[in-house]
Amino acid sequence: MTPLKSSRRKMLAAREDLVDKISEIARKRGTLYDYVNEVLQEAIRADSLGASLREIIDERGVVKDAKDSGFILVPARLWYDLIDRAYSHLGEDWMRALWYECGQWYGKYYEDLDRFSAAVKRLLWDLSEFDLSAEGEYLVVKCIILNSSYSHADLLGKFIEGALDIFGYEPFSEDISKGVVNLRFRRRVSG
Amino acid sequence: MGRRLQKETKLVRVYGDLVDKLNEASNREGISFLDYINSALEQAVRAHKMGRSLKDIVDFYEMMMMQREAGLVMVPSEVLNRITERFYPNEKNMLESMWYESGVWYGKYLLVKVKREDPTDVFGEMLKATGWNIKDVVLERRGEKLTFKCFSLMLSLENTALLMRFIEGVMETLGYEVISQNYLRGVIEIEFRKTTKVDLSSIINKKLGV
Repeated sequence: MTPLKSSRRKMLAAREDLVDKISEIARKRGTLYDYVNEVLQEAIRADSLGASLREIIDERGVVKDAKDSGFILVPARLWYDLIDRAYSHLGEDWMRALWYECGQWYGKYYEDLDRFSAAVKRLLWDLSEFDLSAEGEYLVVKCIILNSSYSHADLLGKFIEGALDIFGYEPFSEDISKGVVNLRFRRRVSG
Repeated sequence: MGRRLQKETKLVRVYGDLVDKLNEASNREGISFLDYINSALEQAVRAHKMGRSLKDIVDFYEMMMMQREAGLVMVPSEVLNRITERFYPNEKNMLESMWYESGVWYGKYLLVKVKREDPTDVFGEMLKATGWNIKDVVLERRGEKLTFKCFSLMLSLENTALLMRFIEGVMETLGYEVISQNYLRGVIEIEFRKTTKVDLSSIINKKLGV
């Protein structure tokens, strides 16, 4: 962002403890004046991107976590094409097992159902909707996938099933069609 | 309340031009001007604790938005690797052609989207942000020639070959013709020459089988 230059300087009020912390940071980088202006320019830039600085920093944490856990970025067209071909050439069962196992891995990685659900919402950019909620004794998962094929919907269902297996849920019913995944789970009875 | 607030606040000097914009942004967020300023400073402290500048973090966010807009999706690398391992021995050409085509599409996106910077530089930065554990992307320019080097500690030999085809697709769309290329596991080196769009569309169409 090009720094805004102005001969007119204005005074702004801010919380004292924050100004003190910012002064400490600024001391290592230059002047307090330059640093505060840099921060506020980034806040305006964030606003122009449709987010707050808090949201942007939160998002970075989620993406970093995703990369650490082995998520990578791939062109969607390539991915869908590859999935479709693998589904028909390598076999539905092999692919389903692969996605189920992968779901289990992420279930273990995120450890907690809410964290897993939040990660799916933030990371699976091709989901226009993802809802995981309790309905009586059941856990209901509803997903709408953009530009998807049946194979992708089926495999996403297996991925979620694998993850929920780790959290102690077993599938009760499923309704999968092109672009739509509706799953119902219930607590597994141990023993 | 006013007096108490006054005691707990300090005044800082800012560019005059910023104030109106900050005011608009705080209105959009539906919070008071003071809360908005405090929140921005809090996030600067938070970023500092993460060892990053706010600029780096906002740059990264903007790049991720661009990746999303470019039609990239987050996928589990394990699934991609396992499918590639199974497919590659018998379907090498099919896979390479898919990756090349994807690169051509991505290159076209960059041509449309990137206006102020050199699209090849933006591509290098975007490649680093893909999560492929790419340690470095080096673009060495000598006149009409450009050497593209990419280093990753994570890529398998198969994925290195596929990524090379992707890069080839992007760069040819951006106006560079391949002179020579070679790869090792995790290392790609391609030498390109700047060429005309007319020449390139015939090269690309031929490779795509159009």
